[in-house]
Amino acid sequence: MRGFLASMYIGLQIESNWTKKWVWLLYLAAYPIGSFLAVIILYRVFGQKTGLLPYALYGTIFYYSLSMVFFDMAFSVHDDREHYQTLKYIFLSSTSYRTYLCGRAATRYLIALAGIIINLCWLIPVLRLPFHPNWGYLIAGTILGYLVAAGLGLAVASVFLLTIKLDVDVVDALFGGMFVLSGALFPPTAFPAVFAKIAEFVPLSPFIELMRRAISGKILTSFLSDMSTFQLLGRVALSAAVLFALGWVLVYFGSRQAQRKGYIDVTTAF
Amino acid sequence: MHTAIQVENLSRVFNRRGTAPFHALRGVSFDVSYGEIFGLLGPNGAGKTTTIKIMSTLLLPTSGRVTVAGFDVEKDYTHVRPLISLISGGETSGYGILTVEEQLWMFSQFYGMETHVARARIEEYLKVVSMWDSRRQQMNRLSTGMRQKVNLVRGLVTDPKVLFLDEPTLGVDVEASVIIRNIVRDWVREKPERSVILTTHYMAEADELCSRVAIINHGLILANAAPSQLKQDLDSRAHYEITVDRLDGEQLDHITAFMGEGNDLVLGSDKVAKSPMLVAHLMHESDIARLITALAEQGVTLEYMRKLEPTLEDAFLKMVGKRFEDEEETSPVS
Amino acid sequence: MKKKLLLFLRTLNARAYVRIFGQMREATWVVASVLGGFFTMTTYIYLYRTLGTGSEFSGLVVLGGFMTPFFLNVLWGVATQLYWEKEMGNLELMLVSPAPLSAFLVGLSVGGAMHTMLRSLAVLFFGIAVFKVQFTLLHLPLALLVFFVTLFSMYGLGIVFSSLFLYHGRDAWRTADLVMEPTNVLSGSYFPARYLGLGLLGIAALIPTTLGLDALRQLLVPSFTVKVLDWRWELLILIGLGLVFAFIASWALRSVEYKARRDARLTLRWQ
Repeated sequence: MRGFLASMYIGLQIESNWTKKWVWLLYLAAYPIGSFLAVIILYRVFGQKTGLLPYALYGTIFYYSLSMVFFDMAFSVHDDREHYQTLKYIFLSSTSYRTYLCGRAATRYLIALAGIIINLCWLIPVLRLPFHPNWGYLIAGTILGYLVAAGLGLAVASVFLLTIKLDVDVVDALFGGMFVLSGALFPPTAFPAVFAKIAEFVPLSPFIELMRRAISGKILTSFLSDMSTFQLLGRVALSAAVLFALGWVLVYFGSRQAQRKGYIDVTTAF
Repeated sequence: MHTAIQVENLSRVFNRRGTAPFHALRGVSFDVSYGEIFGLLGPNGAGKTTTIKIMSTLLLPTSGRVTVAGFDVEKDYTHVRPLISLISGGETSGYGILTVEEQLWMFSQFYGMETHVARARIEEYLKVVSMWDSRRQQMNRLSTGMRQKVNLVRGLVTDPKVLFLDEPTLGVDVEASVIIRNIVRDWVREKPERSVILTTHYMAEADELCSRVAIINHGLILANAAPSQLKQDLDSRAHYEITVDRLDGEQLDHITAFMGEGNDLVLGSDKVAKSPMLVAHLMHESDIARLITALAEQGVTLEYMRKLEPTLEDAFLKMVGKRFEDEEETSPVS
Repeated sequence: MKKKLLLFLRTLNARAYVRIFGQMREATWVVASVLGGFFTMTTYIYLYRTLGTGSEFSGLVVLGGFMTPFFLNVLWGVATQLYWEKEMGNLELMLVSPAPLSAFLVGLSVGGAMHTMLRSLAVLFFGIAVFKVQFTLLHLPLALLVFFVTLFSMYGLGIVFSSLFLYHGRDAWRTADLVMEPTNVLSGSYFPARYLGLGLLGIAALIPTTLGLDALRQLLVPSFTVKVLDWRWELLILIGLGLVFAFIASWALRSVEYKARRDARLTLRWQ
């Protein structure tokens, strides 16, 4: 636990100590805007009649809460190894690398959530978004969201431990694909039938839909509408358990393999 | 023009938010002649790297003046840069995805060299450092020693007049260190208009390479002379270590009385042979003959004797008051 | 003068070489970056289908997908590059050499643009092939002229920003991260910039991609009517912007290098 908290603290310092506290708070609030600005413009200009703005906006925002974690965890492997050159010391410390990564993920997730809450405070009244929260589902979903994000992040980190090039583009491509298929921005029913079916099984889809329903109090489209919110929660819990366990195991093997290959302290100076 | 570098009354203050200003250099002055390897010695945070950074145009002085080959590093830095090269120990510069050959070619282009000239020099120097066979290896596959050899070649390929070596053998094994030292020495001898400024933590390295060294601490130059001069200034007495078969306190008192005032004798024991060991600090070197006679008169047999020469480290210790590794203070840039 | 010019060109060539050939050695990077661009394009094409806009929007998105990698390259490969060079320990070696910083940056730009071209063309190819997008090639030479002027102007802006990164560290990097997505949105990569309204358009027009993309859409997508200005005016503005950026960049690099030498920022790592 001590290692986990220390990792959270390190994560917070890396995220915030580059500037004054009040500038960082502004940054924290402004950062998520980039993720949903296009959604607002496009749906306001072209999609007024579709009534899909709440669906797309909530979807994009909750996707953002997860994507921040994946990117940070993937990036932290290279940042710790090449930039700060501390990865070897983390491996040598009594805290396991997995615990360290989970601590970093927790900080990133909390920071993303803080940014989301700040923005929802003005988005909901200004855009008149439906807001009838079911706090139980919302809290459960938020906790499970961390496990989903950390699980995927651990899996990505395990791959990045075994590469010596900063391949953020790989993560970009992977999660760009997930963004399309998870139905965050528009209902996947727009896809050809095969892809629409695949979309239902993308691990992020049930989480995003659960959070949409939990905050709006409504089923906004037909996507996953055949499932009750409770069933969705069950799917999210199952995805979270599987993804987190998978990530946990993959980092174990990734670390072993990286040690074997001598990649723990490799610096490439790209 | 005999002066490659002239440093006059150089000061540098670092202002950092929330802390008192840090005076890294406080009126440092020295000069370096062409054909010379000049050493800057000092503990961590003494101001060595700050001085190098100012001389190599990376940092502006707070006050004072530095010229390199007659050009002011502050105002005429564009004239200084074609004439210098900088090699830092432990550096991981360059691009890991490039091969050794490509990396060196790239840096040669930053000096405007024609490709065929650059390639010929790269080949020459890579052969000198025994790395020609590794020319097609990617930089990120090289060991620390190999990388440092490449860095050295990078510094030499452009044929600078002044070479700044900031801890060039840091983290490098003995064999590679010897190669690097030999190359630097030969490189300066090759042309009279070349000079080297070396900072190092290894006293033996400075002693071996430098014609002069300046000892710097807390931003002040404490001494500036040839290593031999510094050692000589340390102590004019002669020091001997003599292992004998037997020697007791009474015999020692007799011998001490015989030798007279100013000659100190300290009795200890040889850690290996477990025999009595006498350490003698004599006023004159010739007094050793009298000491040997006195020992013989006491019936003592000599087993082993050696003269103790002062080292540059002794001189450094005397001036700075501590060893390198004892110093913890660091400056914001070094 | 000739010596200076040769030094500039040799430095430019060497730095561009690293960008073009060095990064080519990482095949996964090329594949992943093409896929990333393709997915973004796919997202917006399906989004427009969901919104029920006309089919010409697919063409607009494909062109946006073609230009976006250049925008990202300017931001992450040119503007922030001096920060990374400093962190890697290369900046001090670059500065100790006689080559001007502008030569490195132009080299980075040329190399970056050539390298990105491959990625962008791949995205364009997949966009045309998968989504059956049609362009008119009647004005291809003019479109190429607009494209290269846009690149000139964009990379000029990148070099202006690089001087800020030379002095500032993580704070500038964070700022770039913050503005990346909003800037990309405002430049009309995913929709016609005219829909931004006059106020936002005034700001967005300072980003060369905005007018560049608008002009390209006018020249290549026959059904495109919601233009900001006539492409001729846009071309002139882009030329003007490019020249202004080049002038500011040259001045800013010199002055920021002096400030960084004075304030010990050139070699300050982990800032």
